[in-house]
Amino acid sequence: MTDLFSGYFTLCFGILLLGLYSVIAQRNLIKIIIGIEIMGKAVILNFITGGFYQNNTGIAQAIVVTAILIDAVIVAVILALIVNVFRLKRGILADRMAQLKG
Amino acid sequence: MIIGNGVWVILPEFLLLFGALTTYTFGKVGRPKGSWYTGGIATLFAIATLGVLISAIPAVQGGESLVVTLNPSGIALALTPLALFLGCTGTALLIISCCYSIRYLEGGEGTEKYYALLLLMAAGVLGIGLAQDLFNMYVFFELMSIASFPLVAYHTGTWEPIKAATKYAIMSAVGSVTALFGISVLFVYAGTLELNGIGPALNLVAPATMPGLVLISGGLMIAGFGVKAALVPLHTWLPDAHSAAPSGVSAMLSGIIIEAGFIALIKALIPLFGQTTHVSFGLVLALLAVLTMCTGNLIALQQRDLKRMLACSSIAQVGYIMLGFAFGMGLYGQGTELGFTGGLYHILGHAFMKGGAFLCAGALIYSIRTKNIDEMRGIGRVLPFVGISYTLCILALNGMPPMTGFISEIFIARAGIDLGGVGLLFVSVMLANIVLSIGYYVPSINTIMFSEEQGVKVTGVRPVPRLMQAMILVATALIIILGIFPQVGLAIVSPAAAYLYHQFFPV
Repeated sequence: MTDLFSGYFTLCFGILLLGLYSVIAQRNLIKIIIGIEIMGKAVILNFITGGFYQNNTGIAQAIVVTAILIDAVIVAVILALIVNVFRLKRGILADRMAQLKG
Repeated sequence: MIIGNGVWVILPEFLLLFGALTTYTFGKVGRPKGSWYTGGIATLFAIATLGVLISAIPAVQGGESLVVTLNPSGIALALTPLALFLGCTGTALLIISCCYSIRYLEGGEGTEKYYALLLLMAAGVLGIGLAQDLFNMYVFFELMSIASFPLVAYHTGTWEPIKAATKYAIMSAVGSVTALFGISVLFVYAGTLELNGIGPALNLVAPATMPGLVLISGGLMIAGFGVKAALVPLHTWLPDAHSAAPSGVSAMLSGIIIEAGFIALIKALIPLFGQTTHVSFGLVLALLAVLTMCTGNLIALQQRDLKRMLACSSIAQVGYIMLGFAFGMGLYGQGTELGFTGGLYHILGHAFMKGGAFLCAGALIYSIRTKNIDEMRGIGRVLPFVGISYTLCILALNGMPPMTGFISEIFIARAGIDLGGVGLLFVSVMLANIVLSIGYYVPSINTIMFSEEQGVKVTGVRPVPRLMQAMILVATALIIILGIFPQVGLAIVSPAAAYLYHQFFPV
């Protein structure tokens, strides 16, 4: 069985933190979405790792395909919201959203 | 294959999903658009679902579950007592909310999407209960979340809902990805995600890695699902989203969605529970609960916007619910079933207390067209029915007998006293919080009902439609019935609590 901090796990966790950093640090809403997508990819990579270690790629495939689908739906909904943000405020910077309250 | 009893498992979920499709189709092709019948169809489907769920109560009363296995690899849906509890509460609130929205949204555009999304949201809530493996639970969790984003942003032309929905969607998406990462860590080590299969599979893991695994996986899942359940450092989306949404949606969001997120968190913790002695999830949850209720009450004290105040009080109420579950899981070692009973009864009561309060707030906003409490001075004298119902809902939220909030808070406090030790400390913090919450509940009643001078806008109010009043009456009646006859609520709460207790502490 794998060690908790094996290379693959560290890699996936690193990608997750990278995505989280992008969500927290970026001002542009599109870049925030890219951050969320990066986090989603870290999760998918970790499921693939799990399937590889457990010799159970069938379930891992099923999970990964569904996870990709859900990711796509979430991004579509958030993009639709961002289109509305742009229509109302002519800009998609997250910090301006807080200032332009009202 | 659906044979015999299996139909009770599939049918409620099918009715809600099929209802969403039907509502949308009829709303799209029917004339005139945006008419009452979209809401009517949605309500009919919700009533049918509740009927099926109630008729399934005798089958799971004894504590056994109805299981349907969908494919050979063992992916299963099961109508456990917990699923039945979640389904009944969610669907009852869905009926009230759908019926109320018929008049509330009258003449608006896009009602077919509104009702379809409401039904999808309820399908997600029911599915969280039904799912028997973590990934399926995540899928239903996402169904619930994704349906709620557009509902918050229903009035797309105005800034506040769009801003609230964007913030909510981004925070919720990050949270669910984090939770899924926690689930994937479990998958790496256990190789299965079935709720009953993970625990035995984890026995093969080396004992040295176990504390780290539980800490990482549990921590990620608490942080991830915690966004939805409004645990305190992650609650910032809630006041915005719940106050910007249409009132029918606010009632659903506060009444069942955050609680369903919390149930998802509890179900995800079941396989990790008891794997190591280094981490006490009960204690972690109890500390988070104290933080949540204190913060919720303190930020609610400063709100002047009626719906924002109710939204902030939801954070505090989730804190009470969490404390009940934490007592159930035990602070050190053995927990007590009474804690789960209290937490679940508070979920049941809170659905109607907070739902009713939001519906009353919606009716007041509908007639006076402002959300500010100060401008509502004396409106209770002009609209006595709504005013009195609002007073009853708020007093119930405050834990006043004979309403339902009192019963569940007594259960939770009793559970803490039974545990003794640190439990007593947590109970005293909860009681202090209940006293603190009087500080914003009672002034709002005072302004709305008993103010001598009247606000400027109060004289020319719109009358509240009969259907909206009827739904407020249903919610208020349920609060009082659940408070005076606890055995009505306990009929579905007790089996669910016993089920959860045996999941955490197998005999």
